[in-house]
Amino acid sequence: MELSQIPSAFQSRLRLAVVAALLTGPKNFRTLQDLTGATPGNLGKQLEQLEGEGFLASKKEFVGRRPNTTYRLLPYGREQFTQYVALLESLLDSAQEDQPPE
Amino acid sequence: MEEKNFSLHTALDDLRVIRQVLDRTAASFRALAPVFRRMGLVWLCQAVLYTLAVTTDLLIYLFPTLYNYLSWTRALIPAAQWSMLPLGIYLAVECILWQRKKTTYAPLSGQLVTLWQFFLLLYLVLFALFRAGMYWQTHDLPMVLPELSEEVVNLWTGFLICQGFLAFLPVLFPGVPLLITGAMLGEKVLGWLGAAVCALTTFTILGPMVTGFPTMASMPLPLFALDVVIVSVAAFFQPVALLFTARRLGRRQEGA
Repeated sequence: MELSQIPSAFQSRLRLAVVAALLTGPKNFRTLQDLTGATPGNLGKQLEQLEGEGFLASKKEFVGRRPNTTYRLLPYGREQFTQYVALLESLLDSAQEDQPPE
Repeated sequence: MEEKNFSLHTALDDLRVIRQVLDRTAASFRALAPVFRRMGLVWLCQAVLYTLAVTTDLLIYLFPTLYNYLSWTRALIPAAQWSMLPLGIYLAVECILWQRKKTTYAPLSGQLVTLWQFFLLLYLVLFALFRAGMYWQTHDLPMVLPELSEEVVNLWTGFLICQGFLAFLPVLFPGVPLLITGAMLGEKVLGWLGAAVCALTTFTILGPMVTGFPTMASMPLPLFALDVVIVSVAAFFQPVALLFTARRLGRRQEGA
């Protein structure tokens, strides 16, 4: 992945945090809210965008009488995330190499 | 969290965000510790009650001066006999409530909880069945048997089979889940504790076979005392295992 190819999904820290949270398994809306500290409105909007871009899938069901939406990271989202982290690491490595020796 | 232009600082910030979120999700093993601790403490109360009721007579016999201090514990005997019922209900409710929360944890945490819940519920069901079996086999028998008929022998055999399986139950819980948890999380101490529980349980089952199933009245005092000690120790297997697991989970160093 090149700098120019960074998906728009990772242009927002909240979307990045959501994808990172879903790496360890499916989570419901409330858990994602707890993990990211986002407001419900903002989180809902970003989740919708991530779903639209094919990064994650959602499943709506009822737990008792309450609606519960669970989000799951799709293989495409995982792959994009891995490539993005690799890009970040390579950037940091090259920055360290560019520093003049003390 | 706003839109951004890419720079080295952005890369560092992004990695910090990822690390922060992964740390929070990975720490879910530690979040499980209070559940194990709560169940262990409630079970510990039952074990203490049961042990007090079981050992009172022996202690008073060995040390008559303790009578003034321990005689009140004899009143606990009826409560101790039924104490597994409220404990079982509490544990079953705790398991059901946690089944709903399972999806909010990392997959391995969910599997760990499911594993303990499965063996715990299996233990409770089998415990109830074998206790009921023991009761139904012998509740009609008089204390002094006029003759040893075939029917009476069959009833006593059924009673002893139920008693044997009841003594075997600590292998099922906490022995097996401890062994599996030790392997799942790479916690050697938990694995060894599971192995120790299984070995001690086998000893409690084989012990009476070696001594030829002596009745309480015909046992020499040291053997009777040993039997009471083993029964008392076995009563602490489950709460100690739960509390120890809670301690190990609470102390785990986890992160991204």
